[in-house]
Amino acid sequence: MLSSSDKVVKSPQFPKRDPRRRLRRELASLTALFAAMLMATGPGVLLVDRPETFLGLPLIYGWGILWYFIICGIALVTDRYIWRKDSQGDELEDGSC
Amino acid sequence: MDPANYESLSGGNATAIIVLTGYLAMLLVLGWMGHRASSAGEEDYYLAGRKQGWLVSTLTIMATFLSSFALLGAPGMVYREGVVFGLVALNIPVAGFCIYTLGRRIWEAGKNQGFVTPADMICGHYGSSTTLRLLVVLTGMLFAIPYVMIQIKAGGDLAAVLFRGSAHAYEMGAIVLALITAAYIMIGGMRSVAWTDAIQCLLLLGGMLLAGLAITVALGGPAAFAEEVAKLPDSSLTIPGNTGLWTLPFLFSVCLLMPIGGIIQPAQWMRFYSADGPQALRRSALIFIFILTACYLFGIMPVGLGGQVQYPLQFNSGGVAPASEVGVFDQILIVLAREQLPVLFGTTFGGIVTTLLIVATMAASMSTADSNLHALSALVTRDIYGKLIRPRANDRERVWVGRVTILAATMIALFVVISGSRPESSLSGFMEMIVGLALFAVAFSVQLLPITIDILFLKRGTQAGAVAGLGTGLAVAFAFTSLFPLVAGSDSFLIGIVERARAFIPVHAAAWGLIFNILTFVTVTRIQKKSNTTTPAI
Repeated sequence: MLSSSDKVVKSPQFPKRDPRRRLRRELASLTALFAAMLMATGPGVLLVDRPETFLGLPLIYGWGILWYFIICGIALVTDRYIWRKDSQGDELEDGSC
Repeated sequence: MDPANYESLSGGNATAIIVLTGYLAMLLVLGWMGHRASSAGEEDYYLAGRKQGWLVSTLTIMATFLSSFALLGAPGMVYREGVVFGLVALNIPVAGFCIYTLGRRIWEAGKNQGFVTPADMICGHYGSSTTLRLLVVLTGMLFAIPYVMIQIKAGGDLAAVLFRGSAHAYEMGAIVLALITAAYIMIGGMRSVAWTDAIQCLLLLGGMLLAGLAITVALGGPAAFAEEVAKLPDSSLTIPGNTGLWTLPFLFSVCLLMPIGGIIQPAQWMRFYSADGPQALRRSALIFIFILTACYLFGIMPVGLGGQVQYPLQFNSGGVAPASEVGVFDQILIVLAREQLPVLFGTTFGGIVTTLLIVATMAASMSTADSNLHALSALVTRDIYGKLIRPRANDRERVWVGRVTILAATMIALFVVISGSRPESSLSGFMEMIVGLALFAVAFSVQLLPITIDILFLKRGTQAGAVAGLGTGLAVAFAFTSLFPLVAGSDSFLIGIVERARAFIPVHAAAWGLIFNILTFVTVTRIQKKSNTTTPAI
């Protein structure tokens, strides 16, 4: 008969992970993404809503490019601390849906 | 037009026709190869045996997401509205995050429990309910059919520019694209779809970057390009854009909800099931975020803005109209390619670049049409035919039902596209721009979000709550689309309510549907739990 730990950990070389901690990290990542979207496409746009240029580019266009790089950074951090570990062998503790 | 240019363009047309014909023939060959590589059975036909590696998964997810929106719709919208649409490109990373956050869990559920369609998973969680299953199928249809229409329309638009002056060019282009797409899906199933998507995605990405580079060079290089763009009207350089459509609430709601609707739609859902593991989805998400967004920001934006420079918009009391040489906003990329590139690069090289862009545009359309038609056939075959009409049907019979569905859906979409192309048609306004049709489609698919979140994370909803929420969300979303007045009648009191609501909170129809969806889902769930009775299977 399987023990509860056997049900959770698929790959013995990876330590058992607390799913709540993982969910908290995911939530933090998504919160960061949401905040970035608020700045990039929400009220934050009002900071640059002028027909001027910056380094030759229209302000709003440059704003979009700036937040693209910031969101890429969020994605890299998310991958490093959440996705990569999750995809390398851990099964979700809650199993299937 | 200069007669010399006309001759060169005619020669260019011959090149384009030859290359396009070869490309379409290649797709049919891939369809046949997919058929040869497939084993009998639904799981192989719909999910390629759940063995798609990361590269094919990535490319097919991107190709399915992109569509003619990328090379026709988006440049057309940038051309019409200005820089504000560049912010819409930031919806792509949201979709990328969804690929792993939602897709990984969907993959696991599908692997563990043998799910093939979204309804399999949703009804597997809430209990088998005919009403819920039919609502999920309806949601899939409401997304897939308009999206297929978009792609067929793009084929028509392409032909109309390529063969300007020829009678019925639009209709012939739409028919050829529709029939070729239907043919290779019917022949080869998911494998053919994925393999053709992989090639088409590479063409698409290359086409987007090539288009941006070519237009920038055509205007004299980055510095000259920037100088010209800075001279555009203020309304092109600020929110809410030239027509006033992209107000902040509308912009934000679209950027947040459009990508989610584009990712949890049936074709993408089945791609999650098809992946060979979470690593494939992780890599797909990262490549999606980094590369696809860059293609929009640095490829598509210059095309639309360059279009405004080369073919200034006409501002009048009625609003804004494209330059007469362009005719239709969505054709700006093709017009720029045809008119500017041969002049800039010479007949031969300019013709080659133009042809590549045309092929990329065709690839964009077909890669999404095939995915949605394929997914639609799965919904009808498994969720309606297999569950309700003939549960004892064997795999071979179901696959054939799927093929018939693909053909029927293609014909319906083709009929609507050709009918709607007539100026006197009541659908002509509804079908005017690709972006409008895309937003219409995602307004429905995004209504699956509350159910998806509940199944994957919360696990608190009930079957009745799910049914009520989804049904309400679909109905409300539809009420806020441009098609509702045609159905309800322009003098209906409901139209007045919708208009007042929209004026009060100017967000997209998807958001309105979602608000009522969530409220209904939560309310009905709470009432049901409070009453502490078990809802019988509906």
